[in-house]
Amino acid sequence: MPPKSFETRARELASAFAAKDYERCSRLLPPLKVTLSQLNILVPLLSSDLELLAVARDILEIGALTAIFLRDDLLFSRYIAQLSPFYAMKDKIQPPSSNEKKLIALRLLLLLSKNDIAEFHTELETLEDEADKDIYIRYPVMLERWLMEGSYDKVWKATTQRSEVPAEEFAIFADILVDTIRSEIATCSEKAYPSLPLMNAKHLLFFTEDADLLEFIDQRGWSVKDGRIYFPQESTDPLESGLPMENIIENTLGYARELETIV
Amino acid sequence: MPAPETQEPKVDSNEKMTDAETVQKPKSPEEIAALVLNDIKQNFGFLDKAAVNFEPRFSMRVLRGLGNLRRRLTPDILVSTVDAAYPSPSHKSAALILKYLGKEESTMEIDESLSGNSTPVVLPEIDIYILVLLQVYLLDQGDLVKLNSFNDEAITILRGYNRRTLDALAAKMWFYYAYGKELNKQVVELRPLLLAVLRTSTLRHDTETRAMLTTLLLRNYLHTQAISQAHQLVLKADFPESAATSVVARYLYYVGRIKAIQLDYSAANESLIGAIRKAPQTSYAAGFLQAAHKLKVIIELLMGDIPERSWFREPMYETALSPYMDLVKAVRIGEVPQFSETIEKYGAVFKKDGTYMLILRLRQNVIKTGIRMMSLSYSKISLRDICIRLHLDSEESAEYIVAKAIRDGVIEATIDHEKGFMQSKEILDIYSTQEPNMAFHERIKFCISLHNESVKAMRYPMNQHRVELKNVEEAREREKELASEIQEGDMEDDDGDFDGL
Repeated sequence: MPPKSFETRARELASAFAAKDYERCSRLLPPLKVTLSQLNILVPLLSSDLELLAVARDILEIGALTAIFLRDDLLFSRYIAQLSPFYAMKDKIQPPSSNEKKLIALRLLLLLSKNDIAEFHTELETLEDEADKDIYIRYPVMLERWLMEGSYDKVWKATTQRSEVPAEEFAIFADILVDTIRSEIATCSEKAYPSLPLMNAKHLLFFTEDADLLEFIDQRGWSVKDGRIYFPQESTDPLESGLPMENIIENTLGYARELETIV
Repeated sequence: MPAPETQEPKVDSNEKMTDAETVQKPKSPEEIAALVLNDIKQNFGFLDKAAVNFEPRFSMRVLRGLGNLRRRLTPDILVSTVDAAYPSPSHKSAALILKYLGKEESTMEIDESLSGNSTPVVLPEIDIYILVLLQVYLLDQGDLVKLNSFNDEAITILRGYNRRTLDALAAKMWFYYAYGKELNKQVVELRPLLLAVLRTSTLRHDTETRAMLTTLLLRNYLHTQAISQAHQLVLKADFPESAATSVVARYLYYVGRIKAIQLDYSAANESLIGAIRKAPQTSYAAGFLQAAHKLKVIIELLMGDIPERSWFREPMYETALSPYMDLVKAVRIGEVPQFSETIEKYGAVFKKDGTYMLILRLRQNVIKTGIRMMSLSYSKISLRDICIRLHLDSEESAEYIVAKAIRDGVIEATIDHEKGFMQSKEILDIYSTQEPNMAFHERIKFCISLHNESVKAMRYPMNQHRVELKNVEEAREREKELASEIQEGDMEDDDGDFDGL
């Protein structure tokens, strides 16, 4: 395909994205990607044409953002994976992308919402300093910190109040995150409180409607009596559960075998 | 020729010679040069034996002496070495070395067809050994540009050979090659080459080079923070455990770092303990040991244990580890503001060590320690007080944090939400649980594995025991003779023997 129509199509894509017509964007993207690979710039090599690389990167970024708005996690991850060699070469491609930090932050947020903490930290290692300085990246980093500490109220505020969220794309993750914190709080509460009045439970779990609360309680299998929630108690008496005899026998036989080999 | 000032008998051990040099007036340069040259020639003998007998121990011995030699190299010594080793200056390696020493002979003609790839007279081991000497020399001179171009050509010569006896030397050469490139910031371009050579060496069952290259690749990836790629390499490439211990130590260190980043703290701790144990415990390995200890301290903190204070006092570690000592103190006390202060103060040091991101994760450990201390010291404490003492932002956060701590098993307590306090549970008698059994099991397992590994690591030189037997028999015969002589001597006149007394 002659590059001219490629450029027009690229501009078409940009305008569709700006108009928030995501359906159209998602239709325009696959043929564009085919053109990119034909022009040899889908994967940036040292031999590729540097100017076109910037165009390719922009197209891929639009693709990633579209995937976010369409709530397609897999597609988003794929675009990010394709974008990472571009970012690795960022000194050579001009002009630097304005969306880079935002996309990295979105990826971190996605990992966090899936509870993939190991990947999260691995990605974070590559960022070093920028974590504190950049407003986009700071968001998932602080969220992770608060989640680990356990200050769920801060997480709640950060996800639900519009003023805290740096860009609208982050708000899309809000639902998933709220679910995550709710289940976390629920698990903590089971262990920590012997029993809890319904009103306080509603407040703790950030519910607004009683109906939602009751549904949640059913889901978790808690019992309600006199307006208080009672959590199932575990028996912590070790002797009740009996000695793990198989384990002990296995270990002792192992020791005997090893000792026999000592001359 | 000027005679040395004092007639000291020439000693052959290296340490004594350096002492002698410093104690009296230094010997003339020619004499020093002659001594170094002798050492090098001795090494040639070892390499020869290594090649003939296929014994890697001799090459290892030669390489161990490398550290000592490198401090005494001068261009003149190298030139005389070249003269001694190569039959003619037109030999490819000889020409290369002379060129880089800046002592090109004007009448030299590099006639490739005459000298061929390598004249059969020069042992490839000796060839590579001298090239390594030059690498080390250029590195010490700090001449990076020369070093890199020399490295490229030296590596081409190396890849022309395919002999197993070259393994240890080849590994060393690759190390300096990669190091030179790293100093020159050409790290990423190095990767495809290293991967290709790793494949070749695996096919050829070249354990030393394989081990060294895996380690170099890991270092490369970690340098550019490509952690997932490093992780993949660890998973897929088998590391030959039978390689030299110094390489194994390095490999374990890198593996420890990768695992620490991926939150697998116990595995990381194990790797690091292995690395510290396998590293030489002398002062030559000080840099490595310090780095390993720094990482170990952080990992112990992340696992929730406090590292022992005795480490920090050892002279080798005191200065290097002092920021970490402050960090440990801050974590132990459990106060977040002090922790943040310590990070601020030593931030640059931590970033240089590459441990900054790991240390940031310690924040929750500080809070957990604080909560744990509260729970242990108070049977009942109001949430408000917790909030004040731990410098948390609000009572709500305090409540959530305590709940999470209980869930994670950090403390044994319950929260009473309406009255707003935390109540600690009775301390459970630990001997009635499975804990002691499991702890014992771990220790027994460890001792047994240690025993097994030591047995496997014992080496007996081949056929040496027959020689020993022969020696023993000879010794016995001699003793018998001696005994019979003494007996005969007794029957003679004794008085004459004891005149001297």
